[in-house]
Amino acid sequence: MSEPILNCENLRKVFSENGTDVEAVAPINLCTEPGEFVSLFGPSGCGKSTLLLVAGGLLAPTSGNLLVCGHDPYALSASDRSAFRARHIGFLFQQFHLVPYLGVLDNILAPTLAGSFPDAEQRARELLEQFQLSHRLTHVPSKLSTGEQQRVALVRAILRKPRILFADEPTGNLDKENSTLVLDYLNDFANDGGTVLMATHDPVALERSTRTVELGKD
Amino acid sequence: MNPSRLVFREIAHRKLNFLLGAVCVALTVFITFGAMALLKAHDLETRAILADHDIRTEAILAQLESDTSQNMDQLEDAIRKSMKGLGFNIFIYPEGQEMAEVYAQGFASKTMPEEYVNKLANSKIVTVNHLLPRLTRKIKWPEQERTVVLIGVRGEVPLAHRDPKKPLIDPVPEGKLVVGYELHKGLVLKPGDTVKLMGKEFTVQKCHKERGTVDDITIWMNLGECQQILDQEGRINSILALECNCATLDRLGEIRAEIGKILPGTKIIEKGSKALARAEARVKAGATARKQMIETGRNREQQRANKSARLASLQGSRERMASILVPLIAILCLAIVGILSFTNVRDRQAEIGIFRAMGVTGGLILKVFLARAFFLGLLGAVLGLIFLNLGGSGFQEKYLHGYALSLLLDSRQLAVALITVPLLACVAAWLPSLHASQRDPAEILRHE
Repeated sequence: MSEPILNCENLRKVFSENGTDVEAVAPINLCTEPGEFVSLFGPSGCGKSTLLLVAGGLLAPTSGNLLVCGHDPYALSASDRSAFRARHIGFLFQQFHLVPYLGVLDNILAPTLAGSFPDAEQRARELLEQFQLSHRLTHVPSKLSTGEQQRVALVRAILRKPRILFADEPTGNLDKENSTLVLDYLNDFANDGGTVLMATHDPVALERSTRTVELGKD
Repeated sequence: MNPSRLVFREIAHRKLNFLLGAVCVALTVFITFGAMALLKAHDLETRAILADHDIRTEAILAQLESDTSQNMDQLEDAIRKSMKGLGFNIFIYPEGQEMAEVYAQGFASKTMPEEYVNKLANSKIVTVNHLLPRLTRKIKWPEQERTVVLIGVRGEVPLAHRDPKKPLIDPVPEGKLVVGYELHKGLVLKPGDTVKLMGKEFTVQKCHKERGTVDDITIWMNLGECQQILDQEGRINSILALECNCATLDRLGEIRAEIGKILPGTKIIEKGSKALARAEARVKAGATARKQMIETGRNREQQRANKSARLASLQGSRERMASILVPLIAILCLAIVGILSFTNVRDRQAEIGIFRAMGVTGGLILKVFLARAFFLGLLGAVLGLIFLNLGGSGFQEKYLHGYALSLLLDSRQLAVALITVPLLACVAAWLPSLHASQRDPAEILRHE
């Protein structure tokens, strides 16, 4: 058995709002290994997105233990945690969050702002070719279709070859064809040894994953 | 991808926000340096006005001085001529001489040593000059049976300490006579004629024209011969002198005091006081002219001071207004740049969130926003200086009193502006940029 990429033990997140504690993520134990494509599902507000942010090193948990690639990201300094995210973690969002004023190629190369890595542009071009976007290199997001935007977001997320990819409703805004394309790639990513942790409502997406975890179930 | 590419792409994307900020900065630069140029132009104009006033004052005073000096020269010359015209006006009589007798018979009966005149001449006397010793007597001309006034004169005795002056009266050489009008007319004498006086033969040297005074019955002869004829060798009965025109109002007192020290006991009287009064009036007029010149100088000085004070006050008001207005505008501009930066940060929240999620540090986010503010400030400064240059050329005559902008503003100040203005823009954008760099990415992504 290989070393887990993600290991959550009793991981819990509580938000305090107006003096009232709201449990966004109920205590959860979750361990994923390389090659796994894990889907989180459950009703809205059950904490799927929040769990992704906590596990992605963006939102400190209220309690519990977390290890990503063998490290507790919250034990690191803010700058080290940023570098850690840049090195090991990729994010994919339902709203894509592309930078509106950058062309496709620049959007994809945006992660290099966090630190350059060899042959980034060559890899970006290869991925764009692979995702049938090479004719859109200089186009800004507003000129792209929704599916193209999500593909750009996906290429950007995997540019630096992360070990784990956090995807929040990646197919939520996509048509069937583009959903299939994205899910195919996430599958391939897992098959290539990466780990995917995806929050979704999409039954098709659930079917494509190797494991599903239901949240919000008492 | 490097941060500067990100900055320039964003600027190109959100042109309006960026240009608004840059124009705002440009206006501030324009107003600030424009105010400086205006103040400097006013300052230079003030100096020019005062310098012009000084030149005019100098010219007026120079003209006044020249006029006064010329008038004074003419005045002094007129006084000298008038004094000379009057002849000797100071008479020194022997000690113990009754003046009533002098006034009654026209000469002193008492005598004094001729040596007195030398004593006077060798002293450092300043109140009189043109010393003329003489011996005067009224006698019966026995050969002609006429009463005449006989005056023995010698040449004027020069003052030892002064440059020799042209004598008022020429000496009468030995064996010669100068004859008054009534005498030469009555005796039908003419220069060159020979005539006997007291048994001694003389040649008529000169015949005076009619004077209407006792001179018309006067004979002038050499003092030595006169003393011999009258048996008064080495004696004189008066010394005539001319008072100098430097005398003050109490001139006679001064003359008496000075001569009294040299020739104690002698009696000194002054004649021709009316003419001297006129001379005094002229001296006073000269003094008044000098006073007027000084007064004019003072008035001009006062005018200058008033003008200077008015201009300084005006300049002060302008400076005070500028010192309030310019910082106010600068603060307003900084506030606008701050607000625009804040708007920019707000518009880019999702971008900030995703960048942070990708591992971009807060420090880099801060740098990106500050770099944007720096370029905004730089563009604003450049535009401001261009506006200023255009405005300076366009309004040089109307507002800058014709001074070129290059004369009013130091190029180093403008160079410093190109550095400080962008830095100030960074200061204005600091808080929004810091806010952007410290935003919690999770918070952003959760709400986006």
